[in-house]
Amino acid sequence: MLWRPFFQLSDTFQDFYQRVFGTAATAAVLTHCKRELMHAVWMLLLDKDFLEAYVYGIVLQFADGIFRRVFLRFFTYAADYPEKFVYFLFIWS
Amino acid sequence: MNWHSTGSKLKSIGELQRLVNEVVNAPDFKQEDLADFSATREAARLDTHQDKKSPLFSAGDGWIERSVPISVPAEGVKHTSENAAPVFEVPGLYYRRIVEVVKGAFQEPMAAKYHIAPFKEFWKPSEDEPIERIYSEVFSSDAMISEHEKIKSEPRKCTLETVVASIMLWSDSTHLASFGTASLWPIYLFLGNLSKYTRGMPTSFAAHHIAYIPKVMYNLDAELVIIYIDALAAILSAE
Repeated sequence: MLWRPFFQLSDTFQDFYQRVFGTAATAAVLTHCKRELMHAVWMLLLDKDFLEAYVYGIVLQFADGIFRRVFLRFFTYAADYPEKFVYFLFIWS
Repeated sequence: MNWHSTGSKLKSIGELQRLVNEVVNAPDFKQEDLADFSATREAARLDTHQDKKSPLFSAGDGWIERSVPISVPAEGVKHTSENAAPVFEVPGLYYRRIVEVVKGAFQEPMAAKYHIAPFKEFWKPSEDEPIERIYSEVFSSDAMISEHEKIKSEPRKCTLETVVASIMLWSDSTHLASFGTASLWPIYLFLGNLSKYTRGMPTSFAAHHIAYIPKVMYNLDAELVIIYIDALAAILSAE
């Protein structure tokens, strides 16, 4: 099939699963793993530098030549994955 | 002209002129270069093109490549803790540090257009009508105003003016790029400090790419389609 090559990476996940558990991963497990992956990625994105910038701000020189302390804040997150937002809430709470 | 008026209707006169000027009449144009030309093959080569000197995700632009470990569960299998569960390393994540991206954004020429202090916007339709509050931008929203006030009023030794960088994130697994990265899942970052009228223009380059997540899991719908096609092929070949 022409489309098969696109799923090569996913095959390695199923291979891994087959080897470790002796069975194929179910749809529920795959959904869970997708969420785990998203959370793991956000753990990387919200690194130590980010947390420091969030709490203490970062000093930047602006276009007018003046230095100001900039605080990073999330205002919106538009995604096709609503569960992700729950993650933010528990990190900042 | 026969070629122009047959086949696809999307060929414009301007593009036809460009084809003749820039390709056919080019001094280095040789017909024999195209002796065994295949459009499909060349397009596929473009898609898989990875130039070592200028990769799609260059480290010089702050891109970091790494794999992401996730703990994998199985139905009916118990582990003493999440750490004890088998770990699968998802390969091929590309990401940039958010702090560096925001720093970079504030140093671009576009930063001259950023709103660094939020405000309320009002409109009086006519002399006799009451004033109306306008809700339109992040920098005129109550959320931004209260965050700005909160940060400004926190006690700190530093006397510099404080600014809220309002981060807006987008991620859409169905929104795929056309070259090379088609199997990746992007997360974009925009700054609400820039007016939506500027931010919304593709030519403003206001989108900052912070991550491309590999799509490692089976897309179940696609898998079903493959099973269906395989079954169909089996039936057809049996007949």
